[in-house]
Amino acid sequence: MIFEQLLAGFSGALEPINLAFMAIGVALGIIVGILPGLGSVTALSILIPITFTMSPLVAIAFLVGVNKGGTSGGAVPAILLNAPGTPEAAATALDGYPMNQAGRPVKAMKIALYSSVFGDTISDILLILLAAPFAAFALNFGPAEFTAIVLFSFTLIAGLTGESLMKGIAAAALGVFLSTVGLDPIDSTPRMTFDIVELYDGISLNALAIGTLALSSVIKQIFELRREGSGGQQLVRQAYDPEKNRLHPREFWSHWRTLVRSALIGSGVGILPGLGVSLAAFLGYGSAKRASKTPEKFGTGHIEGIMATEAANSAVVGANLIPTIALGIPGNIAAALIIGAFMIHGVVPGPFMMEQHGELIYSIFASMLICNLFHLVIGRMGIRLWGQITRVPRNVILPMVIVLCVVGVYVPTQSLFDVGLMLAFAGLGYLMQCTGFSLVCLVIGFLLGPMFETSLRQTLLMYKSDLTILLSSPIALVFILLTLFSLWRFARRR
Amino acid sequence: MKMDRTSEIVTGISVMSISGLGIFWLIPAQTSLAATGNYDVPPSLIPHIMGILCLALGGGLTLRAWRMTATATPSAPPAPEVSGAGERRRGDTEDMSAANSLSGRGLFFDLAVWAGSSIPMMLALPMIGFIAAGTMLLAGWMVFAGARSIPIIAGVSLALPVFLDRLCWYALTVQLP
Repeated sequence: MIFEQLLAGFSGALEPINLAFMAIGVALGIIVGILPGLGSVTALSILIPITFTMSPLVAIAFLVGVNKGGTSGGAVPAILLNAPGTPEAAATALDGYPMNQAGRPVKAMKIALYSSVFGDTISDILLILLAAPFAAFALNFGPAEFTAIVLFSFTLIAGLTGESLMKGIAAAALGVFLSTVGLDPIDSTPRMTFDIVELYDGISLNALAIGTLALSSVIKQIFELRREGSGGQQLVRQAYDPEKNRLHPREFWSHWRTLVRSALIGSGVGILPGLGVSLAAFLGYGSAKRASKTPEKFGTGHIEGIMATEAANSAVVGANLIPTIALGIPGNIAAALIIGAFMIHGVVPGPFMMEQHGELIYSIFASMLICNLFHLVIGRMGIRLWGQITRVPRNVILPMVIVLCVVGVYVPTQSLFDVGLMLAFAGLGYLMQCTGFSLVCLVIGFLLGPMFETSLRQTLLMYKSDLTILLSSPIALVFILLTLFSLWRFARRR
Repeated sequence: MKMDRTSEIVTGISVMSISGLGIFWLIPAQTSLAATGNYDVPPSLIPHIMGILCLALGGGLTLRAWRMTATATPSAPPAPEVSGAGERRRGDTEDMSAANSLSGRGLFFDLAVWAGSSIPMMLALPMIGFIAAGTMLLAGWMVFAGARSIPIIAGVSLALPVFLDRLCWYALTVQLP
């Protein structure tokens, strides 16, 4: 059944326009991932607006390509400069940079790329196999169950994505609060709109996501650059020896156990909401080191160190779409942005998505598998070029992103009001980062806010304001207990 | 990011103040407080719950910081594996060393600089258009970030807005301001 639907999905995914945008997405993702300080989240934030004119399939496939490319692109500066382009590539630098110093930079980048594609593919296969059963199970959920699940997600994300549980919950609450601006979903009365017509549809997701995620990160880096007084990256040129940089298939596949283990670890981390890609990378690295017969080689330019990290962090990309597609709950911030893209294209993520848009979903699954092929080919072809991109100084790149953000927010609605909102949210995001409030919680709160409100109010309407339904429904009760347990655990840990 | 006791107290009080403003002024003034159906809740319920939650958490943050000794930090820094930093970029991890040393005054300076560039940009966009405003914005931020090569600054700050303007017009038929 799944196989047949996947085959049907390939017929849609193999449309030339889809293939072209997937290839562009992967290339753009790699390039942005390579630029230190930027990454797939920044790339997704900026690029979502340009997908408005695309069909849902092309748009999501393009964004998935960006996410895949961005996640692995961070390995390039980690290997060449010991300056990971993305936090998840930090563990890659542990062995990648020593391998570069030993005169084998291209070999290190090849290992990183192949491992990344392998991890991604395993995770995509798991997504394809598990999304439908998860969604079928989730069809048993009513508003009470969804209310409990969203509450649990907030707790988990708030507890795991910041230094302070209280600050995490406060950020999520602010996100939910911001999501209530606009017309009330039940009786359509305006809420906190100040009679501004642009606010009747609510705060623009683009303005909030681009402002808080991309722009605030960029301005923070600019202020840090100014304080540090350094502007760019220095690439140490080394003599290139083709023989030393050759990677034999036998050498690569001799470590297949490490690859499979790390891919499964990354997928496991990806399925659970709130756990970061960095966690997958470090867990993959740690488990490979523990399982290795030569753990002392780790950190000295060992092939398994790069493999484990890259396979694990890339495996998160597909797996975090499992809760996204089955429940409408994003596994991480990139998945949250992809949820936003789904909604922009009229597809509401959640258990009904498989029923209502099954053809689209399987075409997206097929596109994800094809994206892996593009990732392999484009990544391999560009290995020598990517090294040059790391040479672009950050004091040139970062200001360019500000202008790109302005255009990215203006284009979809052609509203200067949204541009102003984005600039304001960038200031808020910067303030929140500097005071330790999690932006991940804010954005996920904003995205899940409508689901939380609607399911809570539906519960109240259906059960005549009797909230004890949350304790009498077994599924809801399990999630309420999990919420309380998580709160207790996180509060104790801190 | 590690913050000192005073900063934590100021943060907590600020959260409480903003929440109080929301609960006692913004929500009552801008949201209907009446429910439409027998069992439905008023549209202001969720905003109120979130406001009260933030108020309580702000109080909790203040109290926790108040009870700390002057030298202690409010919480142990998170292990890198569980900080969720994977979702954020290099520049927005919460334990950046540069950010750790950022004082309250430095933060207000940064925000003032940001407001000082954003507000004129918003005013300039409808008046002088995207190309001119974008060029000034880009050049200003490049210089601020430490770029000193005039050909690079001039070239990039002129070329990018023109390129984006033309791209939006020809590819998306969107006329930038």
